[in-house]
Amino acid sequence: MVEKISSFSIIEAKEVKPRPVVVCGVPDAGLVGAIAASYLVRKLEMEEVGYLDSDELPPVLVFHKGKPSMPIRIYEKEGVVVIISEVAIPLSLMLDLAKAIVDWAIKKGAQRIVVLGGMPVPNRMEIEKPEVVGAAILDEDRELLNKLGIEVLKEGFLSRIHALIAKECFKEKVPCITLLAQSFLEYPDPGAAAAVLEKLSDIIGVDIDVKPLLEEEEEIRVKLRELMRKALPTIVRQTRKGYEYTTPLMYA
Amino acid sequence: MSEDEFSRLFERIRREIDRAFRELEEAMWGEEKPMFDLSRRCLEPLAHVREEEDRIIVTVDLPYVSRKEDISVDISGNNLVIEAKMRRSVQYSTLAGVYRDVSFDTYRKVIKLPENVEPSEATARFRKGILEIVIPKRVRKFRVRVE
Repeated sequence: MVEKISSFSIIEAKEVKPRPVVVCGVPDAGLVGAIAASYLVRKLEMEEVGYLDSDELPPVLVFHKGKPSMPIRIYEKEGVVVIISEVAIPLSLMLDLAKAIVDWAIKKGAQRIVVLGGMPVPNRMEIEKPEVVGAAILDEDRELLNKLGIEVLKEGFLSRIHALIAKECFKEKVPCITLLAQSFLEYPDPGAAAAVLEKLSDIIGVDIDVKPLLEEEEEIRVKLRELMRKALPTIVRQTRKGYEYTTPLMYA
Repeated sequence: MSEDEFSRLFERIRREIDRAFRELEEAMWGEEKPMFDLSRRCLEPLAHVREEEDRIIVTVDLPYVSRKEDISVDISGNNLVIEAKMRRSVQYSTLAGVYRDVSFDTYRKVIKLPENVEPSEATARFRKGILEIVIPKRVRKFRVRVE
């Protein structure tokens, strides 16, 4: 099945079951979302069921164990869908990607979209266990975060890809939670990825053992140097706008 | 021109502008060279330079480096040279899809510093795999009296 949404085509090689929880991880600060989503796919042994493509994406095809894969893929297992990107998303494509994900999730009758990411903090070197905040679009999602003991973002701005997905969800009244862990901006941060996965585990009700992720932290940091470098110019350009550290006008 | 035609033209122009910006961005960030040096058998670590009013702060990500004794930091002229030995070698069965069975056990990074730094007063610390080097700037300070 092929769907064309904005400049993206979404191709389902296997039809995704309705009412999934859609988890998104794309390269951003510390590659937190991408590392977390990749680990989730591996840990839950999820099945690749489709991909997203656009003519504007970098001209690459990924090979894993000899098999070709598209760089932005969809995985599924038992009601959980993961959308993961292995390439840095150009700034000019981010809005299209956000619209494509949200439109597709609506068509699938998704229960909720959960976006995983990092929240760069300058003192990350001093932080042993990163804190996680959740930003929710609907009241019921805020209630869920409160019930699960996840700190709710009360004042402040979301930015970058998280904001674009959340804005589309806000317009369409789609349940959406953004989970952000304190992270490095410019270095791959598996520790922050583990922190968001622990909270995600509570939200989706699936046990995720993050110990192996923390054990392979150094290997991940070495191997993701190149991807981090490619993603960084876009992240830095967006982060320089500094909205995450800004107090909203209404409450100044 | 109909509304549809105008929308299509507008969309085409928008994409062309996006493409031009992307190319400009690539040109500004320069050609990406590989993050390894096969002749020296070393990897280039990720590094970040932050300039503050009175100092330069350089951080370098050094996974697989455990001890500060395995790190050397030298400032020669305007070059900051960082080398570090990993506690185990990193092996790639294929690297960049071309080189087979290569391994690396050191990092090397050279960073150009601005002219106005005071290298003799630089300090460094190593925590959780991240090296942080702080180099003060030579700053001439004057206090202006307010009347």
